[in-house]
Amino acid sequence: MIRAALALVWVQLLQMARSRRALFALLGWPVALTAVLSFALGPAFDGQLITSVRVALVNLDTGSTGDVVAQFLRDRSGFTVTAASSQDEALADVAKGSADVAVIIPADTTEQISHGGKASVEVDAPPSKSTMQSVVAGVIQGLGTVLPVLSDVAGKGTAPRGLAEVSFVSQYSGGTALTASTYYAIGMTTLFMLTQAMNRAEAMVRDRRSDRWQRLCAAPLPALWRTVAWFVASYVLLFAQAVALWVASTLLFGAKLGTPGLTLALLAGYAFALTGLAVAVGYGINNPETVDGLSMVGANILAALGGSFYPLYNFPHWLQVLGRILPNGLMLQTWVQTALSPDPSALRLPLCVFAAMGVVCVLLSLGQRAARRNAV
Amino acid sequence: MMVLGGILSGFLRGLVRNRSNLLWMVLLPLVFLLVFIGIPERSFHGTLVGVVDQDHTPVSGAIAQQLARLPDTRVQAVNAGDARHLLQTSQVTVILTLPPGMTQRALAGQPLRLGWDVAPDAGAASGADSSQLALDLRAWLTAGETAVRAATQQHTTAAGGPAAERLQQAFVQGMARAAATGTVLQPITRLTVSGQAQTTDISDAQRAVIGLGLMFIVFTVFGSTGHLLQLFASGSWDRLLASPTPRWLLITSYALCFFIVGWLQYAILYAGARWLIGVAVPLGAMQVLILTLFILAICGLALCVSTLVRSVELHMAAGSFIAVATSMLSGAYWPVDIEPGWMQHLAWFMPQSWALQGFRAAAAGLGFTSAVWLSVGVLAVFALAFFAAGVLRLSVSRTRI
Repeated sequence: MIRAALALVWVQLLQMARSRRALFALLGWPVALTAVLSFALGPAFDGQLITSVRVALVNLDTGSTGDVVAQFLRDRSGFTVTAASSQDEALADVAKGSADVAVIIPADTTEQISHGGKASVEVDAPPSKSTMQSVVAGVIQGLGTVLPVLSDVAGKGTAPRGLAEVSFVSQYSGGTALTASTYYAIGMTTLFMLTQAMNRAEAMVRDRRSDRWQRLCAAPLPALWRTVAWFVASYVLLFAQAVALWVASTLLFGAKLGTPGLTLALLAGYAFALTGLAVAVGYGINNPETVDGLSMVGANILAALGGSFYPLYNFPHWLQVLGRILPNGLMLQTWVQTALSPDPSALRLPLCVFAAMGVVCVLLSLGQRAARRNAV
Repeated sequence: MMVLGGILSGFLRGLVRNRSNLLWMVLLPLVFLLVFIGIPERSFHGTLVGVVDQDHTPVSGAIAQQLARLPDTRVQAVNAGDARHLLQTSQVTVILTLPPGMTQRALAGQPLRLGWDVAPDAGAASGADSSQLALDLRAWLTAGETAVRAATQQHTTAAGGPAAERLQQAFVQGMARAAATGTVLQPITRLTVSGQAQTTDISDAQRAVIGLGLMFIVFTVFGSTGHLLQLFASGSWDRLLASPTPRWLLITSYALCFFIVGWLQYAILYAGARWLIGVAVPLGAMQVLILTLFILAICGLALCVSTLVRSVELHMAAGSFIAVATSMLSGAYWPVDIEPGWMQHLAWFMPQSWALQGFRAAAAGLGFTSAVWLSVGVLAVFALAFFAAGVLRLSVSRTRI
C-alpha cells in the first residue's frame, strides 16, 4: 500500500518535471521577479536613492543669497552644478539630457528675504527625473531654514564661525541590514509558494475529473492513501520549490536569508500549511476554472495584503495587523525577523499556527470526502 | 459588417460569461487600486523619527518637540535597545540619538556629535527627507547656541554669570524662534518637456493609477488573445478560414475585439479610481491617442506571442511575466529614476515607459510638444511593428490547412 502511494507521488512529480510551464512557474518566474525587484529597488533599500544629480543653475539674484544657494549646491556630494545664463538655456540643457534638473533663482531673492518674505526658487525636471527633482527641492528648502539663522547670527555678531558644529554619526551600523534582495527573495518565495499551492489544488481538481482518478478509485488502494499521496507529493514539490528559491536567491542575489536551520524549519512549516490548504481547496471545489481564478486572483490579493510586493511597514496599522493574520504575511514577517536576528523562540508561534492550519485543512478535506461518499 | 458584429458579440458574450475573466478584469484591479493607492494615500507617509533621548534635559526634550511640530513628521520616543530593530525593519525613517552630556556641550559652545541612522526605505525619498531634517536640526542648534551666547554676554556685563537653567531656557527659546521662522526659500517644482515648463503636474496617486492601468491592459489583452489559441485547438479557426469570409476581415475582427477589451480594462480602472478611491485621472485627446497606440502595440505583441506558444496556459504565463516585469522596468510602479542607469536604458524599449511619459506630459498641459510627439511616434512604431509581425505570423502559421 505504501508502495502504491509512493508510486502516486512519483507520478505527480514526473508530471510536474515534464511541464515546461509548471517548471517556469515553479522556479523561473520567481527568480526573474526577485532579480528585477532586487536590482530596481536595491539603491532605495541601501539608502542611496539618488547618488548623482546634474543641475543647470541660473542665478539671476542681484544680492548674495543666490551665490550662497549656488555654493551650497556645489558643496553637496553627488551634485554637479553647471551655470546657465538664462532659463531657456537651462531648460534646453535639461531637454538635451546634459542636465537632470534646472534651478532658477529669481532676481529679487535677496530682497524678498531681507524684507522678511519668502523667495520662490524654480526647480524644473522632465517626467523621468521626478525623484531627483524632489531631492533638489528638498535641499533648497532645507537651506532656506538655515539662512535666517545665519543672518540672525551675523546680526548679533556672536558666532563668527557660522553654523553650529554638529556631526551626525551612525550609532547602529554593523547589524544585518534589510536589503532589497533579502526582502524580495522572502516576499517572492512566500508569494510563489502560495501560487504553487493553488496550482496544486487546481491540478487535484482536474485529476479528480480525469479517467486516471476513476481507475485509481477502482484500484485496491484505500481512499485515505490517495489523499495522503496527494498531500506528500504536493508537500515535496512546495518544499523543493522553497529550498531551490532560497538557494538561488542566496547565490544569485546575495540575499541574507538567515541561518539554514531556522529557515528550513520555517519553510517546512509554511509548506505544510499551504499543502493542507491545497488539499482542502482541491477537495472542496469541483470546477477547475474557479480554482484557477482563486489561484491567480486570490493569491495576488493575499500577496499584496501580506507584504510580498510592498513592505507592510508603510501601510496603516490595521492593515499591518491583517497582514500578520494571513499565513503568507505571518511567514514573511517571521522570516524577515529571523533573517535579521536569528531567534529560535520567535518561530514557536508561527510554526504552531502553520501546523494547526495544515491539520485543520486536511481534516476538513477528509470530512468533505466522507460527506460526498455518504451522499453517493 | 455582419461577420465583424458576429465575432465581436460572440467574443464579448464569452468574456462576460467566464467568471474568471470578471475576477481578472474587475476584482483584482479594484483590490490593487485600494491596497496600493487608496489606503496608502489616506495613511501617513511622511517622516517618522525615532528619538533616543539619553540626555534627559529640557534642551533634548525641546529638540524632540520641535521635530514633532514639523509638517509631515512624526516623532516616537525609542529605547536604545529597540532602535536597531526599528531601523532594520524600516519602522522609522531615521533614528536620532541625543547622547548624554549633549546639553552641557551645547551650552559650552563645544562641537556636538549626534547619532543619526537612516533606515532603508523602498517607497519614499527617505534620503532627501532625512537630509532636510538634518539641516533643520543644524539650524535650530545654531540658533540655540547663538541665543546662549547672547544671554551669556548680557549676564556677564550685568552680574556674574547666568544659571544653567537660564541658559537652557535661552537655548530652547532660540531654537523655537528659528523653527517658527521656517524656510525662506520656497521651491516651486515644474514639469519640463522639450524646453517648456509647466507647474501643473499629475499627483503620485494619478501616476500610480496610470501605471496600474497600463499593467492591467497587458494582462487583459494577453488573456483575451489566449482565445485565439482555444480557436486553434478546437479547429474553429481552420473552419473560419475555410468559410467565404476574407482572412483579413477575420483577423481585423479579432484584433478589434482585443483592442476593445484593452480599452474596457482601462475604463474599469479609470472608473474604479474615480469612484472608489477618489483619484480622477485626466483623459484628453492626447491621452486617448497615447492609450490607443499603447493598446494596439500590446495587441500586436500578444498576437505575436499567441502564434509562438502552444497552450493558453503558456500564453497567459508569458503575458503575466511580460506585464509585471516590463511594468516594473518602465517605471509603472515607482519613479524610473530610482532604478540603476542600465535599467533606465532598458526602459526605452518598453511601451509602458513611453506611454507613461507622454501621458504625464499631456496631462500637465504639454501635450503638443516635440517630446510628447516622440512618445506618440515611438508607440506608433511599436504598434505597427508588433501588429504587422503578429498578423504576419498568424497568416503564415495558421493558413496551412
